[in-house]
Amino acid sequence: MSTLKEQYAEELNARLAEWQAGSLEPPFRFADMRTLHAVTLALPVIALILGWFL
Amino acid sequence: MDEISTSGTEGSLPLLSHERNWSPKALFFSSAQAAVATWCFIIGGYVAFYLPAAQGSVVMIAAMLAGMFLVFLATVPMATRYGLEAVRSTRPVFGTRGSLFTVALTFLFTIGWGTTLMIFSGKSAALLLVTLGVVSEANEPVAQTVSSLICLLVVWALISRGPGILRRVGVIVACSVLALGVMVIIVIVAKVGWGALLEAKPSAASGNKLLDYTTAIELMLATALSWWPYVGGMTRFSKSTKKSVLPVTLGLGLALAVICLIGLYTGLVFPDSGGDPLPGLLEIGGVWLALPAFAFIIVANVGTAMVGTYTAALSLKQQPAIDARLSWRGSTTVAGLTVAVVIVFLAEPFYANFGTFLTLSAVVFGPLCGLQIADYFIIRKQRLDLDGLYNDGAGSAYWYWKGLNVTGFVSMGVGIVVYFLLLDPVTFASAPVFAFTTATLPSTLATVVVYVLLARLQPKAFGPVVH
Repeated sequence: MSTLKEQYAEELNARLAEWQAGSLEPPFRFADMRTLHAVTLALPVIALILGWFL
Repeated sequence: MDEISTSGTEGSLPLLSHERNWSPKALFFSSAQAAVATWCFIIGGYVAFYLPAAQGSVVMIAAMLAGMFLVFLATVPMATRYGLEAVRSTRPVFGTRGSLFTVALTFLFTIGWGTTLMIFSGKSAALLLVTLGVVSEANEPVAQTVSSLICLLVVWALISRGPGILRRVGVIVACSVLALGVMVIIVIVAKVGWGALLEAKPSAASGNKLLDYTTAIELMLATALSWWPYVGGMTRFSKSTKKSVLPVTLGLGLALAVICLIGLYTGLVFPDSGGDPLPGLLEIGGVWLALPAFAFIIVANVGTAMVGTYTAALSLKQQPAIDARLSWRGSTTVAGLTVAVVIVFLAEPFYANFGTFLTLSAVVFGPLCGLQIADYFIIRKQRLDLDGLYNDGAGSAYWYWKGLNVTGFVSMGVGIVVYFLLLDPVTFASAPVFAFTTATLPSTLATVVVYVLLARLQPKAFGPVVH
């Protein structure tokens, strides 16, 4: 089992090294959220207001 | 056995760059494959208790998309930036040991959804077999159980070979079920007529129009929140949060809501159907008319249950101790056997209480989404400690107090209490203010506020601190 644990630790370190060396995706800023806001906030709110009058 | 997964796709390790190879198209089809299943019928059937066809159609689509806002922000930015699935992503908010709570949560809910689908498939197959005269009515319950177990066996046989199957069959399953679903909607509308459909009255409307409207919104918010365990598991294969917006919101949100219309229309036209179109189609058009619906049920449910079993198995393997003892096949077997036990011993009571199961998703996952959004965006400014996410020892970044983030649990507890004060998920009895606020939105907001306040006031040992 200790060998397995060592293998796991080695694999984990190798993988974390790739994550730390590679550039992480930039933070998800407010400006990136336009589509999200349009699809999940603006459209639903307008639809729910209009739906009330059906 | 005795083999820790050295692949990120099947175990607790972070994914490598070349393993994160899902295009937006692959993500959309996998999402749609996961979303479209016969729970849509049941959910639509519940909405048919409260709203007529026109209002119900608008509310189902709009509220589902609105709910996706919370789920998306809570899961996707973290999943794509750090390659985290659901369980690992809760280490910052619950602590290294506290994230075991999410293993249980994810496992139970994905198993619950999977069980619902397998029972539904069994019921449909048994009904068809009885109608065709293959099985007598007296043997229908046995046929139902056996059919459910056969469907489960197919699911297990496919997903136990590895999660690569999801990407390979995603397009086929998603296109098939979407086409069959639209076909079923057309058949229902053509047979019943728009006029009759628009005139049909909801069967359990309270008479308070605002309360009924909000209750339907709440049901759809709960449906959207129930995606929480699934989303991270899929979007961690994507490399871009921005490019995941449309695949996730449309694949999980819009696709599900459109197919839920089948349940809504069926529930309105056949009030005792619970949203299941099969008996109604058998009644008005015979076997040939019901066959597309039956094909939809089987293909959709097997496709979705595969994603559910994958998520449940993956959640188990996020704990290295479990990962060391269970192979991928072993963990999918544990998930499959759990579903099998419920199918054999608890099918009817479980199925009869689906509404409670659905709203419990909102009780738990609403505050959890609030917690993660507050932690990731407000407290940590989207910066996580990679070593802390994967280090299980005391003293790691997310160890806090004995491995628990006390603040996270307290804040989530407050959110759950707020939910219960506004809506009883078992009886659906609600406080007067519920009609104006829903229960999900205040409970999520309460969690955010309490977590941020405690992070400013508490000693460092109990959770994250900001000044």
